[in-house]
Amino acid sequence: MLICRFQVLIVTAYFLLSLPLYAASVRFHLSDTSLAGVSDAVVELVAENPVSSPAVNIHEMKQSNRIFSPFVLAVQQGDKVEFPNFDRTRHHVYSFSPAKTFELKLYVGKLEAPIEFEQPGVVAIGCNIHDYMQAFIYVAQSPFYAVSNAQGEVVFNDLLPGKYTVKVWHPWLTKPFDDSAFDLIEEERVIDLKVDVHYQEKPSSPPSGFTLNSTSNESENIHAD
Amino acid sequence: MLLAVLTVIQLLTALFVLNATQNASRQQQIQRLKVGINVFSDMLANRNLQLNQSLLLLSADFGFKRAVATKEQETISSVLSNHGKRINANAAILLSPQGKLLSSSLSGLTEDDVNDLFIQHNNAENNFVILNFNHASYQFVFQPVKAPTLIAWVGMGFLLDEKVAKQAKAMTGIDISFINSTSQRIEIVSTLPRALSEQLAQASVNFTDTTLAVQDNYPENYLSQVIQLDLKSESQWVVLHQSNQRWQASYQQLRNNMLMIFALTSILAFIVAMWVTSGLTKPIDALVHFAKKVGQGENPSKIEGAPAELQTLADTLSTMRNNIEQREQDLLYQSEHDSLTGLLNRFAAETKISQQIIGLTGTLLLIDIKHFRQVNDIIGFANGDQLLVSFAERLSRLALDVTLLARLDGDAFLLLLADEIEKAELAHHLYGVVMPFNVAGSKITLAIRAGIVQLNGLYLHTDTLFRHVEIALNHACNQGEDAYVYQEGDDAKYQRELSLVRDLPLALTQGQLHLVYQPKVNIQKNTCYAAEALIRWQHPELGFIPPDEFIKLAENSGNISMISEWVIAEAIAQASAWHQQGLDITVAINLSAHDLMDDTLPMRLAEQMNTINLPTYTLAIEVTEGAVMTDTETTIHVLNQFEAKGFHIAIDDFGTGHSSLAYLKLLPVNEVKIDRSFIKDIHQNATDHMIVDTSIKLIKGLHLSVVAEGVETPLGIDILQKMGCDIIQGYVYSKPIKAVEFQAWVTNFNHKADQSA
Repeated sequence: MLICRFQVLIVTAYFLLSLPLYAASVRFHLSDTSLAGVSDAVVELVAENPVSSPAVNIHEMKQSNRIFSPFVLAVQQGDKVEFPNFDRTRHHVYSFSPAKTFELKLYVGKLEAPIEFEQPGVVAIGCNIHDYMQAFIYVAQSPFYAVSNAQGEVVFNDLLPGKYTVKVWHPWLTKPFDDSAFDLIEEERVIDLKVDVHYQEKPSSPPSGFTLNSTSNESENIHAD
Repeated sequence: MLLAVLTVIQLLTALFVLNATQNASRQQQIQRLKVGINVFSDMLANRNLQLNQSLLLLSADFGFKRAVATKEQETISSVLSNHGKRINANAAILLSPQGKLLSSSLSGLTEDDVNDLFIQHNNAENNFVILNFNHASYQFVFQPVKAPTLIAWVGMGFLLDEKVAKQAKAMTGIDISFINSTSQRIEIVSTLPRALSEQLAQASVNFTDTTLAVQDNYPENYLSQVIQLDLKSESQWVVLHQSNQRWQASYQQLRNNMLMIFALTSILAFIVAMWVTSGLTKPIDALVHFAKKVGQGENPSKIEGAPAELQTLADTLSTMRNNIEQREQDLLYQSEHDSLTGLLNRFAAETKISQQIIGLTGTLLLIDIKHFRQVNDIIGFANGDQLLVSFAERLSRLALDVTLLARLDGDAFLLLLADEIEKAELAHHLYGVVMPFNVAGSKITLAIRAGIVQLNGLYLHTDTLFRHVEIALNHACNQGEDAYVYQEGDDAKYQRELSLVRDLPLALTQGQLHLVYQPKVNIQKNTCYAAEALIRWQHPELGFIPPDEFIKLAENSGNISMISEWVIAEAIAQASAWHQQGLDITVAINLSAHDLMDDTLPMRLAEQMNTINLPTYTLAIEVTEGAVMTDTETTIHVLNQFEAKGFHIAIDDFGTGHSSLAYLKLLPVNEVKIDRSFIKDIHQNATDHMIVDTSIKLIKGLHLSVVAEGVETPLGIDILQKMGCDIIQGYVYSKPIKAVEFQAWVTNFNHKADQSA
């Protein structure tokens, strides 16, 4: 679980300025139709009143054991992501996603410059050498975003009370999540969200060398444009 | 027949075998076709797999992905064209992850075509899908384009063209046609020869669904299976053709062989049938013919060349026929011959004579032996038979032209002589026949009689001839002659006699007979004291029948006693009536020789009279001289009894018989009646006068009354009165008259006599 604690100060200030000086927290519980928790889901909260953009953050999407890690990475618009290679093999990381198209050709170790994600959206990351390698970078507009843990939980602390729009994204969503809004007035709130996902096998690191069925799950997942 | 059965069996066998073979080879061909279809399906599936593999590699190409990711129409078209050529695709399309058409190498390909295709692809796991575009069929494969998520679908189409068809033919060994009949325009690619493929194209308009069975005429001489390529349009077809030329050829060869076998076996059967016919049927026919001939009583010639069994059968039949014939001849002989003498019997004689009756001339003799029964009684039946045999032998050795000799029955023999013969000449010939026979050491002399008929070619019916000869013999018997020649009219007389004999018993009961009475007058006293009862028969058809005639017939036919009884009864009744009226008349009745044999008659008569209190003197007995002479001893015995009972007895017809005077002495007689033959001419015939005179003296000398019969004139009365005759009976007094008349007459006569006295 990643919580941007560095925003706490700003949020606190915001709370102090506009509304009674207390901070609320929201706990989202994402579950599928079988009530199991859904991990790797990105939850983004868009406040009714725009919040000023924080500073640029540097994220890391590493390649280790010939897989990307994390599988889903959430960043805020304008953030930068580094793609360090911990493997002995070279990787050719690319994205043809409209949100961000780039190629990092055949490199070893750590690139000099991280990639900046200027546009919000989903960026599908692949490797031209290892077709099975797959990862997603969610570029959020709002500063309030998090990726659900293994139990399907996302916790936002220190939110200012107010009206928020909830966006949810997951690589295996069967259909786009309908954004929903809620008023945050109490100190603590728990919100259950139903997420309809079509489970697939997460890319895992295969044994090195040639294997016959190393790749190609014919995925029919729908991803956001 | 046998031949027909054999032929039919042959034909049926051939048909069944051919049919079975045809079915079997058809099944085989269908099997081959099915195998071909499976191979073809596998081939298309494999091709699909290969194309998929190729497209997979293609879609994984980073350059391709990158080009697709540009979303630039030009770039995409180029990369599709470029990469399509790499795998020899005939068409290449790019679809969005949702299946929306992004780019196509086929100009004019519509969104709908693609949609259908894509849906088909999604539904048809791993199987190929077919695009129908511009009258051509494409086998289409799709692969996702991933970067690394799905960014597009790439599809490549491969024409189902002649090349594919040829490949398929190479693999399956059968011909393949692809037909596209979209919008009534028929496109065909086929491995078939052009003419056949055109024929198939024509026929393809009839393809309607995929459930078609194996077809025989798509085209002809092929077994074909039509398979629908896409389920939707019903316009894309693949047809697989299994040529039946090879099995047709082998079938034809088999058929020819079968026909040959059939022909050969038929010929063989024909030969066998001919052999059987000549070896068995023909002899059997001959045997049947033989048996028919035998059955018709013929004696057919032997059957030639038949098997031994049949020959034996024929011989048996023949033997049987001979035996039957022998028996038949025996039977015939027995039926025609008399078993004792070996002469023809009556039946045969009649038959043989009837066969030649028309115009038959010569003489027919019917001979019988006089008193043969008595002879038989004397010498015994066995000797009688031997006698008959000897007699027959003598007859058969007659020196006459005897054309027929038969024994009719008992002692009656019939001889047909070819020539007419005089009685005298016949007697001369028969003399040898009746010479004494030596029977059991005794000499037996036979007397014979013959009835003779001179044929003169006049007879038409055997019955008539036989009757005539019998009449002649009867006549001889009755007349006591040795021979009698049948005279014309004898038959009529015979017929009359027959009817009289027949009618007599009836006449007795119906009152046709009556008694008349002729007075007997005592000329010395000139009184009538008696009457002779005479019988009269008034026949309803024949009129008056003379008593001599029917009495004689009755005697000959054995009916005389019947008449006698009647007469006795009548006479007694009449006598009784007169007696009761005080009329003192004795009624005289005539008894026959037969009556005189019956020694109970006197007693019976006496008793009858006694019961009605009639004295016996009222009834008198008259017997003829002839009757007495028949059996003198018995007659005398009976007459003695009559006398003892008090009856008056008269000898009738005195002088006509051969009686000796000595008998007159012995007989218990009261009266003698001199026959009318001496009386009627007494007044003019000196001899008669002398005889009567003498007789009267003789009779008177014996102290007997004398009666003269047949006195017709008063002169006669005078003469007889002078001679001393006692009693006169005759027309001079009265003819025989009925009882009533007689009663009147006698009353009157006796009254006058009393007055004159």
